[in-house]
Amino acid sequence: MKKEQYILVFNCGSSSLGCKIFRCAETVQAEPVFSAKAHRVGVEGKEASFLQYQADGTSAKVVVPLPDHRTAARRILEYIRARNVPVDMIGHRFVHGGDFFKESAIIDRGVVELLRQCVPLAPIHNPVSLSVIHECRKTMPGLPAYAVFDTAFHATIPDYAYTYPVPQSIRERFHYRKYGFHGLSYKYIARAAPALLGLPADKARMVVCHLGTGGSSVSAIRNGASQDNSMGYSPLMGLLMSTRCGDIDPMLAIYLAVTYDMRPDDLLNMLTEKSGLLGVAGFSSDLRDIIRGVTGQEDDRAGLALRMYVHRLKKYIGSFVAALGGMDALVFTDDIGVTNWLVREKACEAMQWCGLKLDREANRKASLTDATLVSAADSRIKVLSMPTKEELIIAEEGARLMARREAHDSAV
Amino acid sequence: MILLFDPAPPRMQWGLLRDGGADAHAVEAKAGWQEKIAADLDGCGQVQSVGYVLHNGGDLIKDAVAPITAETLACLKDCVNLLPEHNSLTLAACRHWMECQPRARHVLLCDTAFFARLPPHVRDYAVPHALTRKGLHRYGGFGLGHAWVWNRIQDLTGGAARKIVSIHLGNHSNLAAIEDGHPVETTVGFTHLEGVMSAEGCGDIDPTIIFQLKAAGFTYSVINRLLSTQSGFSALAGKPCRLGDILVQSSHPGLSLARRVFLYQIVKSIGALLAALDGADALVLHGAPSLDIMPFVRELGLALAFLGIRIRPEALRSGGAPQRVSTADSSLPVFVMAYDRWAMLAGSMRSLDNKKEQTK
Repeated sequence: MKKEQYILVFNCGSSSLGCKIFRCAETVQAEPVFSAKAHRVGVEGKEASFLQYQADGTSAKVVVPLPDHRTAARRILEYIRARNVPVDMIGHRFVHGGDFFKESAIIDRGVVELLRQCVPLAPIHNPVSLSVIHECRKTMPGLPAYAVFDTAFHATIPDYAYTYPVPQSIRERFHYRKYGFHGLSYKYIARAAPALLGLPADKARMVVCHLGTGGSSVSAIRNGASQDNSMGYSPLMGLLMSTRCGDIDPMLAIYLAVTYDMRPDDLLNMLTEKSGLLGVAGFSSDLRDIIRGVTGQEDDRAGLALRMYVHRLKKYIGSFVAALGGMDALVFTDDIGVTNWLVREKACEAMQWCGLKLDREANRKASLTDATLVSAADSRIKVLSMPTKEELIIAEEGARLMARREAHDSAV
Repeated sequence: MILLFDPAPPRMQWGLLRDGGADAHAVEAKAGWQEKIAADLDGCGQVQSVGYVLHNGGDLIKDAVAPITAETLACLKDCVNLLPEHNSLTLAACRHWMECQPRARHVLLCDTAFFARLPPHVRDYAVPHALTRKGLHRYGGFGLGHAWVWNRIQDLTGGAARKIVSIHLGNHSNLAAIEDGHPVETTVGFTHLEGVMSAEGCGDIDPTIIFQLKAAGFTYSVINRLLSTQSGFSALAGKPCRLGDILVQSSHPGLSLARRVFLYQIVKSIGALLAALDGADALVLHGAPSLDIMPFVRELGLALAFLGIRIRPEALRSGGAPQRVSTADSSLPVFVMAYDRWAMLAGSMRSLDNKKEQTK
């Protein structure tokens, strides 16, 4: 490995695209040398989409139409090329690796084909990541690239939590089980939160809420290992999300298909793209719009959407506290988790039954960029607002893959 | 004498209640089943009232126990679509027996009415609003049972248990969170398929499998059958399996998996409902017979020990009456009671008389 390498990392969220470049000497430096983020990619809402760049202590914001992730990636790559920012390899976050990928993989033609086969497993995310991979191969040909999978961290979920009680033939044929998502984020929080709280990472019982602008999930983590996740076989399940319905009665899907004679594709599209906050509130899929839209009057659909969002979050926190046999820390992370004090306040309301008490003042004033302890001094459970570092995890995986490949090459 | 009908497709369960107790029966619900019952009833004596269990009363039937009127029948017809196999049996029974027993009192026992006033943020799914308005929301279920359990626990605690998690352990298990007599959460959704897995039903699963099955050529009716009658305990055990088969530990790998998944689902559901209630004054487990569920209750107590639950080692060595199985210093009391559906339904029928007397 040459002395110094620059690893560019793309992180596709469902309505955002993050890009960071890390310098890697012996290890990956935690602070990126360059970062960019595309906001509100493909979002229906009141505010316009925009790009944000940060490098060498300067920042820039560009309001620009971003109809899809590929366009956002092209804009960012053009910006990087125009400024001669060094890049030696590109890492991609890929949400669902199914049974094909249990760990990160260097992308070659065969891997691209397997990635394509993973598309139906996460119909919102996987095609988007694939489009960004294609864009990179076109705009920056010849650069080594690799994919990192969100499902990998959840490999420790025990059988009683991942097995769906349907006939074994179906489980085997469709590789049908709970996979769990947002694994990169949880991997980071699982080591960073206990370190910050002074908890032994190998003994801490944590419930972590990864609340993104598009998708959200909750995880139960014990001894640094995933025990459960609110998402399932696909990222459709679990919490109420921006446009995804989250948990529903499986019979409802059959009933809709039969009663309204809906095509399966249209039905799946409705549940993934037109449900969630957008479906309930009707006017926006963005929780910030929803909170601003609460009227408190009768037929206040924004208020209903917010109450549903919080109620389901609380239910998952409760169920994972029980699953873990108690909890030492509750962590809120990702965009909404860190920047939205109201969601944290409401999620922690009336949760004294499990020993949780928020410091409302500290919570309202929590930093938008750094980890903040927001539980009351006499709360048995520590509550943290903590930004996640998915990109750092992706870069570390890249450095590890490269080191392994070099070790292999030199052995040959 | 009270005649009771409780549909369980493909069969109709029926019971005859006399002062001495109940006789429970079931017939295959195919052509002529009503006549079969009529023949069995011959010579049994005068039927004073007939009760019909309706498993899903939709948005139309909001009284748990009420005499059937012409208006009720019209509403019933509109409810059939929500749960076609069950509700059509209830409707058929009503029509038939109201005609043959014109002098008896006919009473509808609605299993969803208890949940009719669930707050919208608990009741609704996060699907497009137009669908919610069409009645595609959670209805809850087993409401007659949970209301009965609530009343018994009030008698038992002298009204001290204001917030309870009511846990029904059976071949169709489900939980309800109840505060001051009103439900605040349930594990049952639009249908009983949602929630905890049953003996043959899948419970909460990722519904995207439905679309994959459809794409692979399965019809919706086959998918429905797969998820409702070939899943649950039996699918995990790899052979027909009832609750009784998984209440005790087993070395059979399939039974052992079914048991672990079931225990985990119950634990998680209790946690979710405690969050909805901000803690409870009591956990109440019911199922029949109570002695059989004790090994399971002990294991549950261990899993929830962090809540301060301690189960008495000597608890329920003898079955029978409802009782507190937790120690005096258990910070969350746990009760176990036997659940007899026919006795519960008879009690519901009698509650109508009590109501009448009160209003007199």
